[in-house]
Amino acid sequence: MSHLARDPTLVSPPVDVDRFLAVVRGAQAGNIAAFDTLFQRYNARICTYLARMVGNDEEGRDLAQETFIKVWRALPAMHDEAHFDTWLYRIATNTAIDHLRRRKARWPLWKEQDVENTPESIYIAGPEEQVEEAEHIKSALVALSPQYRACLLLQHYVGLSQREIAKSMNLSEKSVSIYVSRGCAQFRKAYARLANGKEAKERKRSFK
Amino acid sequence: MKESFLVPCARWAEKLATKYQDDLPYYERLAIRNHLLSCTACAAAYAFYQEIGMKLSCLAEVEPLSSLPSHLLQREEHVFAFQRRSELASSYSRMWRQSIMEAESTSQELQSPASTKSPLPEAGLRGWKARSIAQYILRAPERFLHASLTHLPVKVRYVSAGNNALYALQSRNGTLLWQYQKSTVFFSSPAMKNGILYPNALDSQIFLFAASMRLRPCSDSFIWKR
Repeated sequence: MSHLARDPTLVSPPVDVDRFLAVVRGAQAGNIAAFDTLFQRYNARICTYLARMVGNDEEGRDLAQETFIKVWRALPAMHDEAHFDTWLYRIATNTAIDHLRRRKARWPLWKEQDVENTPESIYIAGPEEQVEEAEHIKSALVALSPQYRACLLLQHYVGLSQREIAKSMNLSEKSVSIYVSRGCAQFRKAYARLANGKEAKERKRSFK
Repeated sequence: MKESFLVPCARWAEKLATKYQDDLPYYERLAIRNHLLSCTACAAAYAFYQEIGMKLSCLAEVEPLSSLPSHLLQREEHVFAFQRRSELASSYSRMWRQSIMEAESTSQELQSPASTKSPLPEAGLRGWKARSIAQYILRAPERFLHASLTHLPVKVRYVSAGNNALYALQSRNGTLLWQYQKSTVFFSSPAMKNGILYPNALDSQIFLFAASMRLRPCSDSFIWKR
């Protein structure tokens, strides 16, 4: 039972807290250079988080831009500089969920990548196991409902504790822990289905 | 579709998915560890969750865009400077109230006239000036503004206050032009158009009266009443 205090690989490199707060305050006051520092620090992580949230790299990049512009607008109204990253991920999550909703409304026939009938090309095209596995993870994530997906990604990818997730998603801690566990369970099912599908196809191929 | 794995115990399912020390108290973690020794389904789930955690934490990063186009920020700043200005304007009333409360606690001089005799003249007087709007309205703590002062370029502001009064104040220097007292509470700032004042009374009375910078409303100036 290994419980980490904080995953050392995930949390962004330690910085001087005072200096970081000074940068946040500078950005709050409208200093573009300070905001750019924050942008450089969080950009890659936000980008990947959003891309995995919406299941598409290109859209993820666009949404990251949108998020940072929203952040720039909302900064003067932010109260708690010490929890800047929680606040940032709240905006990112809302942006992603809004985008998913909008996409559904605009293209009602949009189909999320279907887990059960994932095109065979993926399996044939990826000779390396790792690529295949990455694809599995992506499609299993897409199969989750957005709230669960956000909770899972915030916990495992971003490395927030459940209390911080609760804060950033405006939920109670109890519901975050429920969401995370259900998300895990759904992910497990989806992942198992994908792996089974792959095995079945391999079996078929070997019979031919 | 039949699941190919055992479902973890309902009691533990939620706790298995936690990751950090902050998420669970120490005794709970001990309890889970003990449980995992005896329950295969939970142990399998736990192992899988750990694996998910590992896999998700090393997701391949998406190549991000290198920088935000600075012209976007410039424009945003231009647009939102206005918003910030108006936020400032609405926070003024709060600041005034605070400063006056502080002044009140220190000086008796400010408090006494409010309680004994209203120092405010009955009719709108031109020469009656003071330092700020707040000194008129917020002399007594129970009087507080019901509505923020809007940031509009008008000559006269009509303000409702907690002591059942309407005030007309000159925007430029906060001079009190007139005040109007009634038995009902006014809430939100009254609207003014073409010399007719539309106040909102809390007892759902509706009435309009003629008023202007120089014209103080009295019982004769009611235009319409219900």
